[in-house]
Amino acid sequence: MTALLDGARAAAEERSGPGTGSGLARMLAVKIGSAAVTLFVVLVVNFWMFRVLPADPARNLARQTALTAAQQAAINRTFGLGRPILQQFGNYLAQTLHGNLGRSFVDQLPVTEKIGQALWPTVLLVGTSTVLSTIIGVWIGIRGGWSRGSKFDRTSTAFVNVLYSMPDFWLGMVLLITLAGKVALFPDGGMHSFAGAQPGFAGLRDLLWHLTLPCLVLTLVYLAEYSLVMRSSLIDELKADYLTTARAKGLRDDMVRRKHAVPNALLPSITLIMLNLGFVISGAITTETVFSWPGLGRLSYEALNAPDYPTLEGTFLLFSAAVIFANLIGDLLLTVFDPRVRQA
Amino acid sequence: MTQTVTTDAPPASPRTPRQLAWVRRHAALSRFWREYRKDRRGMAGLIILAVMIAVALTAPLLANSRGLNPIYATAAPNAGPSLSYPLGTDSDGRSVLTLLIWGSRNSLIVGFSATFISILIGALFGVVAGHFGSIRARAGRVTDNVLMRFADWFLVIPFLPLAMVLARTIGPSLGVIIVVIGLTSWAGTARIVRAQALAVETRPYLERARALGAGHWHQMYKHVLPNVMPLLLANTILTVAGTILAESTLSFLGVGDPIRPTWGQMLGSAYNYGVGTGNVVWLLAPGIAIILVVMAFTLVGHALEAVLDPKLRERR
Amino acid sequence: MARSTFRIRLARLTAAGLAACAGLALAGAAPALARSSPPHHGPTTFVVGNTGAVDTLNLFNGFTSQDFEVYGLVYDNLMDYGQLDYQGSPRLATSWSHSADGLTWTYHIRHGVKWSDGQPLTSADVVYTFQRDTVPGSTEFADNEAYVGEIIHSSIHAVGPYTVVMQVRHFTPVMNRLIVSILPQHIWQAVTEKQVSGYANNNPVGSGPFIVSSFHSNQSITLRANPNYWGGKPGIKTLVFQRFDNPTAEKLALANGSIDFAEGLTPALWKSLRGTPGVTLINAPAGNWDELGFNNGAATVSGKPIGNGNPALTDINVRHAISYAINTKELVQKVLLNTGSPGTSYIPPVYTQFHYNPPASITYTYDPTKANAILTADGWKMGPNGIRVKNGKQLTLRLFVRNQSPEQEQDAPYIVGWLKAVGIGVTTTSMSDSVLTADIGNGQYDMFMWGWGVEPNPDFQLSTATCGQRSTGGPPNYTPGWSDSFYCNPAYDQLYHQQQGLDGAARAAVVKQMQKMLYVADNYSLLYYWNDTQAYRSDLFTGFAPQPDKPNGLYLYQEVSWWSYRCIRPVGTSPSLTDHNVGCQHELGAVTASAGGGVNGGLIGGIAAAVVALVAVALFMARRRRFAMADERE
Repeated sequence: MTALLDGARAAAEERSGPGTGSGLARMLAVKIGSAAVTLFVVLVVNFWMFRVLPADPARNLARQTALTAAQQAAINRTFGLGRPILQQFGNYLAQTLHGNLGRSFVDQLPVTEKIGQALWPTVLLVGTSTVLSTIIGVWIGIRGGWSRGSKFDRTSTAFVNVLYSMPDFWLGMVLLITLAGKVALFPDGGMHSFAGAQPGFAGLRDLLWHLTLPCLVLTLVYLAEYSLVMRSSLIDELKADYLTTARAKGLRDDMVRRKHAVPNALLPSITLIMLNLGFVISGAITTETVFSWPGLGRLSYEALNAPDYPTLEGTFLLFSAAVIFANLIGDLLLTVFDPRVRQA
Repeated sequence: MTQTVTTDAPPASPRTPRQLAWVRRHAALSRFWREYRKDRRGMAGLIILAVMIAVALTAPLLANSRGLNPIYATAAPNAGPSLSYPLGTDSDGRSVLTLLIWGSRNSLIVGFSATFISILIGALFGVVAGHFGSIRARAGRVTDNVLMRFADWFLVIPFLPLAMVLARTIGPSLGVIIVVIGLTSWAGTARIVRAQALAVETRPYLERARALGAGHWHQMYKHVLPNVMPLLLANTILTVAGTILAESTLSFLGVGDPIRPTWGQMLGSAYNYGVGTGNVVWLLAPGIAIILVVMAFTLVGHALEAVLDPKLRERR
Repeated sequence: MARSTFRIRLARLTAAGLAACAGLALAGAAPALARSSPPHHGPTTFVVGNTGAVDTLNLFNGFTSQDFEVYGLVYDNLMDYGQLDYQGSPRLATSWSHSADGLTWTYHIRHGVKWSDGQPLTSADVVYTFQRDTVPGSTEFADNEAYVGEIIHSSIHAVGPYTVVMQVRHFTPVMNRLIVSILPQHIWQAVTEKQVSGYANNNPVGSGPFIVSSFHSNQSITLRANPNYWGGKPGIKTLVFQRFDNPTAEKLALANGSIDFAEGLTPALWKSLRGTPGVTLINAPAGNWDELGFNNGAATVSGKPIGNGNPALTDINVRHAISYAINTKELVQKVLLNTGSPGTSYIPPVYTQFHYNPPASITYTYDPTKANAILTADGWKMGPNGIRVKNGKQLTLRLFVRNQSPEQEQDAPYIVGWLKAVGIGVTTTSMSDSVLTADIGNGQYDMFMWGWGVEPNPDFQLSTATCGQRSTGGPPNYTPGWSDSFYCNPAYDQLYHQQQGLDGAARAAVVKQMQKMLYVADNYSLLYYWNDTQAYRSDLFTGFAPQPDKPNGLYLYQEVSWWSYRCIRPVGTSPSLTDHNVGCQHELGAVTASAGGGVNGGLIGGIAAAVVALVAVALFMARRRRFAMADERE
């Protein structure tokens, strides 16, 4: 996480340097192209990683589940073991580009279907917590950075530092025990009461009831980072010469803040949010496990234990693609919002 | 501000370049320490760190290592705090306090070692990329680009799934965990170092060195690296915080080293073997320890940054 | 400072954000705050919590215990294992017989059974199911091979609407235990062989006591009682299986009433439930054990030695010394928290018919003195660093531990300590299942820890120690068989083939002889049999039919049986609600109905209990006769 903080700053600084291209279109093309290359590298690594690992995944499933020799043969056939490695890679590429991620070893369901089922819960959890943590974190950062040294600043910084240092699963366990144990204010896990997704308002309330604790955990843990970044980048901005000029010109404090300081200080935050988005998805693994939330994190964790290689490959690919995509969006947003970059 | 050097005073009139350098460095260090001392949070962090490291180093004196072996555990399992077991016992009947003390060793070892790897690779990449990137020649920029694309890819890998897969399949020893965390966290450092290196490259004495015929290696080693060091140090401290958290996550998920106790592993055991009506301190203690250590590193790191980078200093 | 627009706007944004948070939290907590007591879902809904989940309703794809638990409720098998005796017991087949030569088998199918979509179940469905299951090379065959392996595909036919006849290649007693799910022909004939593995089967049509009403793969499944079930209407209306990833959460859920039955809790969590009001704990022996496996001399099926196992382990004296050096009682106490018993032979004691109980003279009780004596007599002298030496070689062994088993990881330090105490050095390495399997297959190991779950039919478990189950193939990666001890004894193999053609007491005798062979050879050192620790809300539900029929039998998740679910009923209802259901004559609460009863209790309760007891006994006798007749016919 810390690397992100500084990496984001560094990235922002890098971008505010002299531009590399001669036009917006060219810059966009370069960025998209580079993202595509990264994605290809991810595909290669994904493939090799799971082929290089000890093969014969069927055997281990068999041990737990008494698969017969025929079933194991079927699994090995599906996974393509035994054929020349380059041919396997070719098949893998072809299949993946067609959207076929193979079938799970464990229950024979298509991996795309398993991922599809688990995607929405993770997006809901991560999306909600990201929105909340961004709003609250940025607000705390702005207020703290502006009134530096004040009581609010000192208290909030202390509070935020503690949150930043807290392992998210620990916070989850503590909340679970206190709020969902004897005192059953919240459910002990899952996304719906077993009655399932009820229609209408009752269903929504049930969903919210289950969402509260896991969302609270992720929100608290991530708002710390946003608040710290926002605060320090606002402090940086506040020292800038142009602001002194603005004040000297007679602009009111809040105008200075609103029109100049905050928007410029937001840049690293935007980058950070985008960078984080990709990681938060994979980082939700622990929270989903603690709260039995049926999302991608939990899916990849249980695939790890099987070992269900096709599902692992699929989730790994998805996580990497999400990060690449989020980075690309962040890059593009910066290009749009930062006039210094655009002009180059 | 004049300095009065009271201890190990240098010769009255410095004679050799080396002694000159020594005086300069000593003065700089003293200045640094005075500035640092003004940062209350940084001092708090430093004190906590000192205590933690002291505990880790003196573990054998504080708690008998026999207490780690479940064979010798005779207490009731999952018992709450008592006089003989101030933090209670775990599900094997071992003292949570003993586990906590010895766990500090492994947690800190993993933290420092993984950080070492991360910083080493990151600094190397950053300095080389920054140096060659500032050369006007095309070859330099290409090297820079290639290196940074490589780093970008590492920045993109989701750390947790990769670590889980590698640890689960290669074998969850502490060594594997250290390497995995190190490999997935160096890219951020590389970026920062590169940015700083680019800034350093524009300074006049580097142009002078080049004009005098200094080779690439000499420039990087003698000029760029020392000027990048301060920021690198701050970044290192911050990275340790991150690696300790990363290790705790891996251990909690059951992919850590099951034999050597770390704080994360204690949390994982507490998760699996039950708290609730059992010994809640077993869950709380390692968590609080992690929070304290990570916070301490973070505070120290930020304080270092503030001292080294005047822009970030607090107004007094 | 004067108020400024910026501040007002900021304040508004803040307020909005905080309001959103508060709103979310309140909305979340509202349902709970509205309640005055812990949540409960109604008296006729029974919720089971487990760490596993049903991932597919296609019974040819599913393989977890949770999957099979549900399949056995949605579909009827031709037979089940009996509630009391693990013998083949009538379910859809009411009786069966075979020809004198044992090659032609006739099964009589129950009358009046209906599928959940209203269609009648006839012999045509049974024929269809068996024909489908015996197509060579098909997934269905692979899944059911243990039961249908000897059946001649072309011989399966119906004689009238309620009789099925089939022939086998060789006589096999497994035809008395055809625990095969019967499928509706009118549904499955539309699913071709190619489509089978992709067929979701999300709204299964079955003949079982419960019908799926909603299914969330890998989260929860809700079933409703089949009111027209031929075996009697279940005493609960709704049955739910809910998954928990967090074992602590599952325990908390049982304690606060969110679930009624908890399966899969670790011993420590289970124990921490003791004293919770309304919760009853069950410490049920089941067919599970963990072992310390030895490399008895890894070789391929052709006898070619492979791998780098320490030759010391091929010496039976070393293996014996290790077995004597391990304190299995302490493992049971410390690691299992007394939810298990020390291990001896391959077939667990819960299968009373087949379990071999070694006499005290050869049992490996904890005796480090004896272990030391054996090693010394074998030529292993104690070295200066506490490790024994023989012919210049130190007695140091590798121990591989699976990092996916917390209990086995807990066992490791104990074993290391005990072996060190008799002069055997041990280096422990933790690894994943895949790596361990590969290492075992290549013979590159000394000792490891793993476990088995044994089903009532001992055949498979015994087969794992045959010569034919050793590795095959060639370097660098041999293909592992099921043998991970590489024990090979032609006499054992002979007995194995022999028991395949026997049944009853004759078979049991051979099976016990085989276990004795393995026990004496010490190819594994069985550590312990671990129990299934279950817990349920006894203040809310009763009527379970444990298997075996004892207070500490398995209440649910029984060995290839599903009796109990039909018998469960809410506390306060009369036992007659379910005690006439098939398989429920041994339900809990049938004889002690007065315990949870009304105000008077006492005398009236006693009389009522006596009456109920008499009725129960009468019914039991009636059933018993029916079973006995079926047995005699064979």
